[in-house]
Amino acid sequence: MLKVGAFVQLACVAAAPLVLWLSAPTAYIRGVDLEGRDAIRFAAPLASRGAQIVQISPDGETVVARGRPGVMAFTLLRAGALPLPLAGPGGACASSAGAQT
Amino acid sequence: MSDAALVPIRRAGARLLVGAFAANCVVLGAVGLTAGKSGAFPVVAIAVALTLIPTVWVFRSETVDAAQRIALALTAVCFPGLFLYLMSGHLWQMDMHMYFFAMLAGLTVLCDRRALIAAAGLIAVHHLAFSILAPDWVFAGGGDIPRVMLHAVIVVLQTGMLLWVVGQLSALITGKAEEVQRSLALQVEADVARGEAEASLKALKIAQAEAERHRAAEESMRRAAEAADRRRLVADALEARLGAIVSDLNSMGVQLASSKEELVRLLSGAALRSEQLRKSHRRAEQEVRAVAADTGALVSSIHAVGTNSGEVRDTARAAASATRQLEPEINSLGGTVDAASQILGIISQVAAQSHMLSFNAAIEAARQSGDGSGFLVVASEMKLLSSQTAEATRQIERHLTDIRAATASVSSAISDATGKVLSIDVSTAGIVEAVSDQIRATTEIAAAADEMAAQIDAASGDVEALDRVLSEVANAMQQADQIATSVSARSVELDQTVRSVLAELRAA
Repeated sequence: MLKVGAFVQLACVAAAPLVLWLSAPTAYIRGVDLEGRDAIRFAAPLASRGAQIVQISPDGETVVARGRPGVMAFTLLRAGALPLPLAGPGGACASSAGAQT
Repeated sequence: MSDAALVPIRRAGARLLVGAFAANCVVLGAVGLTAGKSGAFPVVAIAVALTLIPTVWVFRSETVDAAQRIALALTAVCFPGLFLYLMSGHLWQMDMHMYFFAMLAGLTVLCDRRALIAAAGLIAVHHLAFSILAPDWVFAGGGDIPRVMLHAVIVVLQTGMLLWVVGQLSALITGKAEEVQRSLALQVEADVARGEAEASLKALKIAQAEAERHRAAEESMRRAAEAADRRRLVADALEARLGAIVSDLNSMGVQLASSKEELVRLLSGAALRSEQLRKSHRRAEQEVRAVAADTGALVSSIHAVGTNSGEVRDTARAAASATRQLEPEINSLGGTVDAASQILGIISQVAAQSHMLSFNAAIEAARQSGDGSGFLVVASEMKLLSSQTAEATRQIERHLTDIRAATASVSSAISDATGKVLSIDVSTAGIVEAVSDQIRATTEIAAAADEMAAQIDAASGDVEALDRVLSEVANAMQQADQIATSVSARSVELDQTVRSVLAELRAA
């Protein structure tokens, strides 16, 4: 019983950053199409959830959007894409707070 | 090395950390409200969620196992991360990194190296991962690998030091616990040895008690024999002593009876003397009162004597004055007598001349014979006259001498009378003073008589008290007589009882 509690506590610790990211008011997200190279199909549902489409890769594999991360991740998962967090619009680590806002 | 000794300190450390988690929740909420961050609520919610499960652990179980300690350590380093996230973009975000080191140091309360290593690893992973995925969550203005590596080196150094401290602390605590266990084991051995010693002592006491019982039995038998001998001796001695006491009691009863008769006689005499004393007292009282009355009369008569003495003194003084007034008269009388003497001398000369004349006339008559007879008659008459005159003169002289002598004696008598009157005055003055002394003395005598009368009155109370005492003595004597009678009867009973007891004692 105590071991289970420790596991649950560790899970909470691990989930904390994800919860923080999902609950952020705005963030960049990359959606990787898991069913082909037709990432442009994500643009409509994301836009309908208030997200801003920042970039679609030329090969159609990924889409980069900016908006409420929880909503965008849910939308991408329902549409068949893998949502990944991004630090900036191009996925670079040099993004700043000003860039996010 | 057993970790059992570390259980209490680890439990206390876990409770301390849970308390710190709760405090962090509050501070996070306060910082979120102060900073006005929109993401403050999820941060606080995550902090509360991270605090709940450890809180349940530490207050429901007595031990904190290794997995829980690791989970607690990882949870602890989440709170600085939450502060960093909440303060992202703030100038103090970089300063909040120190909280990681503080929290890492605080994990030493768990006394667990693995928990420390896990926490340090999570800090490194946190920095590396978020410097890539969300650099704003870690470094204000973005971070880079060298800064992360610098932080990691510092974390490694601190972790190394903390691991050494935890090792030393754990060794110290477990060593102390082992010492305590050894001392407890020794105490148990000492208790066992003491129990064995007490059992041996109890057995020894039982044996001693048994020996004591044997000895007591022998002693009681010996004492019984001695007691039988002693009873016989005591019976003999008791008979002798009690017989003497009983005979003494009988003789004392007889003496008491005779003493009672003597006391009755003395009491009768005392009562008679008391009655005589009462009568004497009454007489004395009457006499003293008569003396007091006589003394009052005496005082009055002495007062009269004093008054009369004063009058005598005044009379004596008047007599002295009158006597003194006689002295000039007497002196004048002496002068008159002297003047009469001088006249008498003249008369004597006249008588002598008359005699001479008569003699010459006789001679002349004789010469003239016849013619001179008449003349002779005259001469004889003149001679007779001169003789009578001389005789009268001598008689007057004698009378004057007698008058002078009488005057001198009267003067002397007056002087004597004056002296006597003066002495009478002095004597009456002495009498007055003596009378005053007598008045004072008689007054004191009267006061003494009154006081004596009061004393006699008081003595009257004493006489009555003496009568009461004699009455009480008579009653007490009556009771003593009854007691003496009772003692005599009891002595007879005692004699009989002693004889029966002695018979029984000898029989025993």
